Order: sequence, then C-alpha cells, then structure tokens
Amino acid sequence: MSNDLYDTKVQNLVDAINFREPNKVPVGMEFIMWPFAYEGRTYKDVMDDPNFAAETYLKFLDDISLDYVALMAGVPHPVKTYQKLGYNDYVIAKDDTGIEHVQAAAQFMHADEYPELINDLEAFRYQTMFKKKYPVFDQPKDVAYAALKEAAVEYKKFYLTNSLINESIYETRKIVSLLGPSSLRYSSAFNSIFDHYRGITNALVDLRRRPETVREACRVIREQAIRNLKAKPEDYRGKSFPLGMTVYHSECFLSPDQFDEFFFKDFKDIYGPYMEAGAKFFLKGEGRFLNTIDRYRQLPQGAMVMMLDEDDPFEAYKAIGDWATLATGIKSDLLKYGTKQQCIDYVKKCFDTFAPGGGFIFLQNKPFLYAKDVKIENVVAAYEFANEYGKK
Amino acid sequence: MSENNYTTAELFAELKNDDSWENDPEVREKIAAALYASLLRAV
Repeated sequence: MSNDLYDTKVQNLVDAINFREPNKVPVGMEFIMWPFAYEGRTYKDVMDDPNFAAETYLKFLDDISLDYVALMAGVPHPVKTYQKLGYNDYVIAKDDTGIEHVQAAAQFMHADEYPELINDLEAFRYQTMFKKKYPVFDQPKDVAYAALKEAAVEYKKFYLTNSLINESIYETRKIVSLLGPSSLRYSSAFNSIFDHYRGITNALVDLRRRPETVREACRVIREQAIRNLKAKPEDYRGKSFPLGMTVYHSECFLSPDQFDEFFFKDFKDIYGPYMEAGAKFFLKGEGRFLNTIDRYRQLPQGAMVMMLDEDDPFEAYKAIGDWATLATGIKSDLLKYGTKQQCIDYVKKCFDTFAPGGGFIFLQNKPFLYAKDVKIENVVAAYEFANEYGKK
Repeated sequence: MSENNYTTAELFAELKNDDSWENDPEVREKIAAALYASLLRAV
C-alpha cells in the first residue's frame, strides 16, 4: 500500500479536526484485547507464540477497514512478566482474552507515607514503590535474578507480539495513529495518586480526610511533570496533528469544583500555551462528564477532540459541538445487544447530525476489551456503513 | 534499591550479558532495556 493512502487518511483527519468537511469522515476504533476473539480464539490460546498471536489479532482488519487507531493497539500489559516478579495487579480475565486490573490485589502506599512522597518523589517512586510493586526485588539476589530471567523470557513474547501487531497496522496497512512519538501527554497529578500511589478508594477518601496533604502531593507531582516537559509551545506552531492526549480516570468521580482544581486548572495552565500555538488534544473520556464539558470553552476553539463514554453524543454536540471535535458514532451496547439495522440507523443519525461542517470523526464510545464485548456482525455492518456513508 | 547488597540496575546489567536466557546479544539488550523501562513506567 502506498504512502498516498496514508497521506489521504491524515489529510482527512486534519480537515475534520479543523472543522473542514473531509473527503471522507475518518473511521477509527479503539481496540485492546477483543481482536484475539474475532475468529473464536482466546489470548491464552496464542500468547506463547508471537507470530500466531499477532496473526490472530490482526485478522479482523481483513474485514473491517479503519482510517485510524485511537490510542494504543496490541496487548497493554505483560501479565505473565509481572506475575514472575510478584506483581499481581493484572490478570487474564475469565474469558481467557481480556486483561483485568485488580486493584484489590495492588500494593499501594499507606497514608502515613505521604511525607516520604512529598519529600523526595523520585526516590519514593523508584525505590519504595518499585519494591512494593515488584516484591521479588526485596528478595536475596539469587532469588531476584532467577525471577528476572523468567520474566525476561515472558517479556520477549509480549514484546515481539506487539512489535508484529504495530508493524502490520501502521506500516503495512497504513492505518494512522492519532498519537505520535512526540505527542504531548497530560495526566493530572491527582490521577497519579488515584492510579499508582493510593488506589481509587484510598485516594477518594484522602480527598475528604486529608485534602491539604493531597494538595501538597499533587504540587510535588505536578512540578516534576513540568520539569520533565522538554517540548516548547513553539515546537507545535501550526502542527495540529498528531494529537496530544489526556485520559480521564478519577475525573468522573470528582465534583465539578474538584474537577476544576485537580484536573482542568493544570491542563489549561500547562498545556494552554501549546494549544494557543496550534497543538490539539485527544480526550479519552470515561463515565459521564457533560456537567463539566463547558470548561473546554476556556481553551482555543478546535483544540480538543473528545471521545465520549456514557454521555449522549447528541447532548454533547449541543453543549460543545461548535468548539470541539467529537469522536463518536456508535455505542458499544448497541453493538452488543442491537440488530445490524439498529446499529446502521444509529450510525446514520450520527453522520447526518455531526458530519456537516467537519468537527466529527467516527469512533465507538467504549474500547473493545473482552471477547464478548460486541456482536461481530454488528461491528462489521456498522463500520462498512460508516466507511461508505462518510464519503463525499 | 540497594538492600540485599544489589541494585535493580545491577540485575538488569547482568541480564543484558547473560546468554542463558537469550542467545542473540542484540535481542537480549533490546528486551532487557524495554523490560526495565516498562517496569519503571508502571510505578
């Protein structure tokens, strides 16, 4: 396949996110482990053979045409590698295909360790937390090294599988990634506490019981992130593609005031200048967030491309459709429980409403994670329709 | 990461030079480096 095809896909994306009607509305998907199940196999069946695993994973792309991949394709976590090191937060799900994050099994810091984090974040992260996550490195050297060798053998399979998948998707099939190697990434400081240091429950309790401590920890984490940010706004002048990225994790659990304090203020303060220069961000939304969506009007018009989750895209369009590109077009529950015709009717309604004037790219509302997340015939029908109907 | 008289970085340096788990030195180095980066990212 030629670079012309790739360039055409990029041009359509650039047009759409700059509120110009593209020659074809870009059609994309966020898929994680579901592709392993496309032809009835499971990840567990194929995970020890990278060539077979990649071949199995890629099969669905023979039937479903994509212009772009939202976020990362491939296996997200090296589960067996982690397990060899005593890190058991991730497991292969009961369907033998999806990967689940089991926060109940995770080793988080205790509340009385906040002063240590605040005092020396780097040491706390790479020494204290490292050994909490991978307890094997607290064992005698011979024990730790034997485990590390076993982990490396497993990691090689994971690494090769993902290399083959990515090579085929991006180099052979010329599907476009929304994100580039130099893309800006924003994760709020509170999300670091929520995801890595304290876990969901503890972090939300801390917001009530020790808010000043949380604020101080966020300050330290934020300052480190700013120090690590080497790019300058002028590097992004006139570069609206590839996109930067931010992902909601804690945000749908926060009140609007907390959202402003712990997510939006830093996003605007730190990355606003990049957006003024021309950079655009992909927001992977989680949960419902219509109640705070108006905040994005404080950013330059057209700076955001939003993947919705549980919110109604037609309501989101009324609220922000003139200001941000919507990445939407089909609901996962319809793909799972609806008929082919219901899926097509919904896709058509989305195109008829959102496509005129640009500011719309086609994407489902939830990533395909598990074997039975969607009915395959519905996915094929919805994407076939989207690919045809979105042409000028 | 220096209790037990070793550091994690030392273990990874040893892993890069150990052909008992992978014969190809280039692959060994690449996998060991990617694994270390992946573990650091996850904390």
